[in-house]
Amino acid sequence: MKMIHWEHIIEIGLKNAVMFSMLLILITINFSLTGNIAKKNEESQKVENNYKSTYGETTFYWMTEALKDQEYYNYMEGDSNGSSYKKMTDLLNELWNEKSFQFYTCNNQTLILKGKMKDIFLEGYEDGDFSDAVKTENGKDISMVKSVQVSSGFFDCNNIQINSGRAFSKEDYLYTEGKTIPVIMGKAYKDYYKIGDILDANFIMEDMKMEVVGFLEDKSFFLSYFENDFVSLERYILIPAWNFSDKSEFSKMATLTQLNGNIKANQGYEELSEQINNIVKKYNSKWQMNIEDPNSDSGTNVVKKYQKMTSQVSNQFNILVILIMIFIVISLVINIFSILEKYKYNFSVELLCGAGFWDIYKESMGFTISLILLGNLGSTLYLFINDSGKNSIILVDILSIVIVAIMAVASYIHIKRMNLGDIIGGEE
Amino acid sequence: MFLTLEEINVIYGKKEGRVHALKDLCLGIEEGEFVTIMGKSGCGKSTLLNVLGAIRKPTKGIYKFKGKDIGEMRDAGLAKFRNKNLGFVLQNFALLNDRSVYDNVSLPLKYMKTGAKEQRKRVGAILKEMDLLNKISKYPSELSGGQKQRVALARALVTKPKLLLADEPTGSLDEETGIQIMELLREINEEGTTIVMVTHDKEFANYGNHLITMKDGRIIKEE
Ligand SMILES: Nc1ncnc2c1ncn2[C@@H]1O[C@H](COP(=O)(O)OP(=O)(O)O)[C@@H](O)[C@H]1O
Ligand SMILES: [Mg+2]
Repeated sequence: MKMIHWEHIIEIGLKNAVMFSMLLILITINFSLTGNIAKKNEESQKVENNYKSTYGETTFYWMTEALKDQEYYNYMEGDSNGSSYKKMTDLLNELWNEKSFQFYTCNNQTLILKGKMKDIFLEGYEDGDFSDAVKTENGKDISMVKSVQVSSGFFDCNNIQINSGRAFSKEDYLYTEGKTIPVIMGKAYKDYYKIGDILDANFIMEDMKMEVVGFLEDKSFFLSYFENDFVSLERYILIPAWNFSDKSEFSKMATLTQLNGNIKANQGYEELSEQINNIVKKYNSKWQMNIEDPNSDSGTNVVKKYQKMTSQVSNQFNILVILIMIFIVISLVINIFSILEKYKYNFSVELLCGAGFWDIYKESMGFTISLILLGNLGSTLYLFINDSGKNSIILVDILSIVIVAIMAVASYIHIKRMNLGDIIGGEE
Repeated sequence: MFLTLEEINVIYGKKEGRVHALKDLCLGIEEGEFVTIMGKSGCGKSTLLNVLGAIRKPTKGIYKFKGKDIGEMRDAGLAKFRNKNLGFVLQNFALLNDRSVYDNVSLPLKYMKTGAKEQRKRVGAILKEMDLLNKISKYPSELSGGQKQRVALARALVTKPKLLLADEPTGSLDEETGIQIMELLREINEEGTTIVMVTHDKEFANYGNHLITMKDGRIIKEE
């Protein structure tokens, strides 16, 4: 007897409409929840993979210039022939070009723009303290915004992509006085600026014009020494690190700040420190660079920290999906088996009238599958509307199949043990 | 022989809870017989009906129906066998209380995949025979005991079974109604349906032409 008696299933559904609806709502909500979490998990997995492919197993170190006051004074003012400045630029270029490790300039610097900027771009906005970030100077508003000055290695090492416009060219890394400085803006600026816009800016006390040449991809992050963390570039302005054609006070100061950056290296901290010190000593034995190892304490190793966090998230996700599955199965077992018990007498009568075990099994499974199918449809619709992606929907489908399979086995065992034949002579 | 049981044993449960309900039971029934089974409560009468009804497979032994070994059939085959050849009437009527008389009586025909027209024709005919046409859309709770048992009989007979199995069909009825049902059974038997009926009532047992007495899972008297 192949056919399924849908009229019996519908009848059972209607007679137990409250239980059916409750189960349906429960399944739909749980499926939707699962799909939603799956989406979140996928996103965090993506971020983790992104970190891994960007930063891999290599270690990052921070470098900051640590000239003693006297040396700083000597550098800025002391030598009239500019030999110190020349040595400093040579040192910077040697570090930029070094092959046994990769140094790039990554210098968080306040940029002052004329006019009143949106709050989100202001310095300190993320910490909630940006009241000082807009000032009035000579009757005009000026705003302090977040910027990073970077050398070309910054883009490779942090895997940063341009969304529109262009990246920095070789030309852009050269500075001549009065030149309009090309800048690349974080994604959030895109709503307010367009490529070609000119900004009136002041950078390290130097007035200059800046031109917007590009915008960054949505999810761009960089390793920030300041924050000891990954920081979104969404609200940052990127300024190229320069080689200067002049030796003004500005170029001296800027050259020095351009020594602040990150080092990507495979050798250990000791070896790297020694290597860098040797390079620095070649130019001036009194100059000092400060190398920091953020990995010395695993708690501050941001890459490892993030990897640990995301793997925790995905572990929790797996556990949650299993818990939800168990929850649904238990709810189904309790309710459907109670319906089966309620209908035991009816099933027995059907057995006498020529129904087989499979007819009764099919009725029970038809009820279960209807529930799961409707719940699946409901949650798929929800996930679809919420743009949760194909994988969430597939996960819910897999979950449905697994639950149906478990219920198929459980119902089989249960109905086999119901002793429907007891209807004859069971009274005495 | 219409049907034969050879050394049938039925054992319920396992280990300490074991009940040996039928012990090496042998029985032959000819077509058209009216078999009545008597015996004390718990002697295995209902178990015997379960075996004859192909609802319980004997733990050991062979059950042949018109020469066919029932023990070799699988679930779907057994269901079909029951549907085609057997009708059941029980003490408690075994009606679906949430369905009308019509739906109750037509249930076996559904499993037979009888067409809707044919269903209506056959249900109508059998209900007329049982004098129940005016109750066709009533529910079991609206019927008297005798009427309920006639509905059960109609349902058992609507497929024109070869064998009618009855487990104390008069057990829940008063004497007068019981006699009515027995008269009906006699009629059905005279029309050619083989009947196996379990009863406690000696007088009703005498309606049969093949009287069996059981004790402790065995047949102790056959006449
Ligand atoms: N499903 C069952 N599980 C265990 N024992 C049963 C079951 N059905 C019947 N029995 C036992 O088998 C014996 C025979 O029962 P039954 O065939 O119903 O006797 P009768 O119908 O003659 O009163 C009894 O001892 C009864 O308790
Ligand atoms: Mg009995």
